[in-house]
Amino acid sequence: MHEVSLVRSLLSQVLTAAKPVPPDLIRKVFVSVGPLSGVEPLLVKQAFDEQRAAFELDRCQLEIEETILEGMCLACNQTLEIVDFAFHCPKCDSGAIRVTQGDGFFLLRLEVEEIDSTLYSTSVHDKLT
Amino acid sequence: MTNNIRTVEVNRDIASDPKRDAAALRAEFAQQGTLVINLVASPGAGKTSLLEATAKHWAGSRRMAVLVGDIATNRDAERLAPYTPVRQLTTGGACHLELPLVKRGLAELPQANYEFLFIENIGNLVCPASHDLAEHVRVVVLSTTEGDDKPGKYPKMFRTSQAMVISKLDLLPYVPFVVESAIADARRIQGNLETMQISALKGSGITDWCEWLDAQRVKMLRQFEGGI
Repeated sequence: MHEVSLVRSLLSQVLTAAKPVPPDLIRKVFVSVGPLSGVEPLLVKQAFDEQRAAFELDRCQLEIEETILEGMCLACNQTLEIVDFAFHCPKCDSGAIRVTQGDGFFLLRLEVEEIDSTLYSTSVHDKLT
Repeated sequence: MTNNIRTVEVNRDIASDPKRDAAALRAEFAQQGTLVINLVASPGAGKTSLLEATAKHWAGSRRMAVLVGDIATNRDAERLAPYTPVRQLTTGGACHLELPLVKRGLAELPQANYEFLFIENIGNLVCPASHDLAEHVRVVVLSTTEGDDKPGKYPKMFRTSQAMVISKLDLLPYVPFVVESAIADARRIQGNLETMQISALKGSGITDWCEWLDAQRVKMLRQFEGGI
């Protein structure tokens, strides 16, 4: 399964996002996993526990938020929950559905221990883009 | 002393770097006029047979090349070598291809202005669905021996494909496979899915498949010129 390589990528992105906070002060990582993300939450958790030490994140915990699969009908703009992977608009019968949530594996946020808040003023967004 | 806990908002797709790299390479391919096809299927569905039949059908009239992925051995590359430039990609155990491996294989191919580059993925209907290989089209091959219930069981693969090729049609009289059921199941997941039916062994449907590929390349070129 490919969860290990994705989790290694996650851990490296956690370190980047947290900078200049050192790894040992990163307490918790929040991720979201959707039904069409292609990853299994249990295997993500297992890979996280196995891989975190290699990134000096031994004390870091993982929180997985499981999202539902949502979409929008391109024919009538109806928003809908996609149940059992039936990409079908209940309102107008169209099969042209754009997925709006639940097809990805996202790093949502981190919780870091703060010793001196003046040290960490850099915007996370600036570092990642 | 108790330290405060601060939240750092990130909201980032974990695959955003590989997705960006794939999009850049896809644009490069389009500029060169190369249509890239990511061929996915379970093991033994007939991906290599389809490519063999494609190369034989075109018989040098199109400039094509193949990167073929497997866990081990050069068997598929050896099989295709008489008909097309080909390089084997072996993953040593990984269940899917990723872009760096594709780039390495690409560098090893004889350099030519290819019109079609086929990437035959590892036989697996799960993990390859999550990895963009810079393809313009993803084609899933479903063989009649696998059963018509497979699309619903592997939704991401069928959802992320633009076409489904039903293979081994010559075996239809011997297996409980209903073509219409497989198509209906797949279209429930991907309403715009194009479907084709082939028998690589008998040669049926290969002309339609090759014409579809030509049309996809024209569409890709038009979109690139239109700046879409």
